[in-house]
Amino acid sequence: MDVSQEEATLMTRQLAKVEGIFAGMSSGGAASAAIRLAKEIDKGVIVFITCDRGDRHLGSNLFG
Amino acid sequence: MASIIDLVGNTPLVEIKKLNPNPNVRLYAKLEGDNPGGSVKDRPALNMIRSALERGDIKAGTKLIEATSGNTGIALAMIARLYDLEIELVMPSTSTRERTLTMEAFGAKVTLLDSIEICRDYAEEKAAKGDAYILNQFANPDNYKAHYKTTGPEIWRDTDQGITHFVSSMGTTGTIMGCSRYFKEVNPSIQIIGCQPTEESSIPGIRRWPKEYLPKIFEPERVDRVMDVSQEEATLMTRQLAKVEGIFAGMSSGGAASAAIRLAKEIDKGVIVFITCDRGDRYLSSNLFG
Repeated sequence: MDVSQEEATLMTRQLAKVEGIFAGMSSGGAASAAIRLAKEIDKGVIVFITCDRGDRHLGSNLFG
Repeated sequence: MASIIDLVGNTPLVEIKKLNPNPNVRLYAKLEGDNPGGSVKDRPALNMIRSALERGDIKAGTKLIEATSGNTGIALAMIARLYDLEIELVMPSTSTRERTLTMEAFGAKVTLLDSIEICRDYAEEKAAKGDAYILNQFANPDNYKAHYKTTGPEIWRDTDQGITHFVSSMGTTGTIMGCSRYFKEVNPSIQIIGCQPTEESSIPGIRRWPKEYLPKIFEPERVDRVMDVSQEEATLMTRQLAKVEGIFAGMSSGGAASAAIRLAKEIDKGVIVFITCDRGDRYLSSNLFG
């Protein structure tokens, strides 16, 4: 699944704000793909990987 | 299935072997940076919010306000959102930029003022006017009770009831007040050692409190001994912890480690446990690591 930078960024922020999971951008990308997938399938159990913590990305503009 | 909240506590206890100067002493670090919010403060934050909700003091939609030097704010921001609470955090302007960004990532409003004392006055005034509910970690018994219920029992369990000395830096003093209560119940001979900065030193998260700002939850008779730690000593030991033991922690952790190592040299034998309060990541924009 292809994930755009914008989509990954927005989902990374949502993960922190809504779920209390402070993770990096690639985690947001995987979350976003998993959530798109959840809309597609009838039923199932989806697991996605959050690769690292958000702390590592505070020097970038990921969190504003 | 565990939520983020269920992951608070049950942090690892690791043995410090290389920096331990005394072969007859076992030295352990309790890695509180392994909490989901990255610090020991997840414990009091969760217990203060959960207890206030249970008592009906707050409910979903309530606005919280809290003065914090950082870690409590991050923990409260993370947990408040999960309980649908609004939150404003008031921090000293010396707080690192990454702290503000982390709190804002969790959806908190952040206000920066000159000193922690001014922050505490501001939060209390706003709460007194009825604009927000203040958990007041400095005076809230649910702060130290978190440690009485979790941190103390975990250390007792993980040392196979063997701990003889407990070393903790003192900020709100919640960790040491709660653990002291627990340890003295299970074994009154366990020595409780608190660390504070020397007169001229600045160590984020811990204070040598002026009398009028001493946290209300602090009861001096629950601490057997206070050890002073200088900023330089804490800084050097924080670097050593990372370089020698692979433990990447903040400066107050280095302070506690340094006091624990001095203590290890003094005693003949024993089992010393010290608290590493948070992770080093939070201090990369300061000059702690270079």
